[in-house]
Amino acid sequence: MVVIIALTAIASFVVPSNEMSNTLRILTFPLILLAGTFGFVGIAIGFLVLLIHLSRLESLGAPYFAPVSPLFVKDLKDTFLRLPIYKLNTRPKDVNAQKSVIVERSREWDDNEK
Amino acid sequence: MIMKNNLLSLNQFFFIIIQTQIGIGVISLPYDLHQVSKQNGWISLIISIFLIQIIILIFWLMYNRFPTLNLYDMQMIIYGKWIGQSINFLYVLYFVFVGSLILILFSNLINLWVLPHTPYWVNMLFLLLSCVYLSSSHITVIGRIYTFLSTFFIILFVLLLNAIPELKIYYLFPIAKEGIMPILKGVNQSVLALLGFVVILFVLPVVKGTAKQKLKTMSGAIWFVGFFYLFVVFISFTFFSTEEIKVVPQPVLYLLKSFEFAVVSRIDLLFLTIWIMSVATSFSTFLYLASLGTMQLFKSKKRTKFVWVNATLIFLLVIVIDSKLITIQTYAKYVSNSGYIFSIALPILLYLVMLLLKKRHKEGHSS
Repeated sequence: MVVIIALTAIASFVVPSNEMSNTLRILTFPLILLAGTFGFVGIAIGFLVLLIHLSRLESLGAPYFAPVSPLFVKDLKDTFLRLPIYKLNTRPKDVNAQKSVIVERSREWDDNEK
Repeated sequence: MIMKNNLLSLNQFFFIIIQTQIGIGVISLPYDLHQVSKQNGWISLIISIFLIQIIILIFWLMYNRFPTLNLYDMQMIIYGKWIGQSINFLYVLYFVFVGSLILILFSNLINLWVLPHTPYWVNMLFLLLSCVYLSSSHITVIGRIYTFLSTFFIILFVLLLNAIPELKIYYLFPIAKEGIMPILKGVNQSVLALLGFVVILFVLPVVKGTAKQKLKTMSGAIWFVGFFYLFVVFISFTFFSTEEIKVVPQPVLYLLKSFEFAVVSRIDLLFLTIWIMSVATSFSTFLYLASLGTMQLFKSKKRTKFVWVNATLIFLLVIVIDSKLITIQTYAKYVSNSGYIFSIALPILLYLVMLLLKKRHKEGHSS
């Protein structure tokens, strides 16, 4: 129990923004309840429902889970690991950009490095 | 006619087929196969994959004749209003029955392995409610979720890879000792496990891509599922001896139970957790198809309402069956055997009627 609480406390520092940590705090309670009453099955179902909800979300027509769950293999280069910046020369596919190649880099220091 | 945004991509199509097919069957397939065809079960599995490949070709030909219609619409057009509607009704009933069968088997297995004292309807209601949420969403959203959940197959695969040092290939021998008949009987069992490919006929018109690309994706999905099953069957046939496998109804779980990692000691529970996801996906596909059918029957546009109606039907059905009206085994036998009628016989009949009447999709004809 102590180990779990310690882990949770440390993990809470990973969350970058305050709003997000509030969301997580509220999300935790139903999951704790489920895990306490139904164990592994409860956790699985809880996360399943959470996942379904996240996949249903869309902001301005772009799916929330964009490069992963409508799978765009080319966009994965900026998701889990980041490739070098000169490789990141295409726009994400899920926003349906008119030009798929980046016209001008948004980072200013980019020219110096070339 | 159909907006570009509302179409599935080929990837999503692939994962929808996979997730529908891989479901409740994974855990008990090696046992069922072994009961009828002993150590030659893998041969019958390969034969059944070839069979299904042929059936899928027929599906594709049907799709080529009516590229914008799903099976419900096709039946309405080919058979006419009354016969078409009644066959559609039968399809809906079939999907409801399959859904209830999945729920029963699921809650039984959970009762056996994880939560022995929880009443069965609690397990069931869990799965049912989350699946109602899943299948009331749009088909593209369903595709997205299935894509995401398919990453878990990698974990399943890796978990099963642990068994490789323990495998003994000689359990597979002698090959075809009992002759050809047990192998053919095994084909029956493995086709039953692979059922669910009927979803292709309903999803095909909403996938974007050329007809050839779709055929490739479909066959790819079937072969993926086939190889996954083959892998599972192979591992559990070579891990357990021919005598041993008779006493383990869930070979995969017993296999994983014998391993232990440093942090996770009950791998079978981990496997079950991931398996719950794939059961949920295949169940919600059937729920989706049933709701699509009821929408067609009542000529309504609101699908969410019918998802709830179908879910309630399934729930009531499970309660009726569980009150010992018939045993689960006989129920499972009836339902899975009727799969032959609904996912093989009726589509082929429909295709033959199409050929006879020379019906095709006409330009400018929309529905």
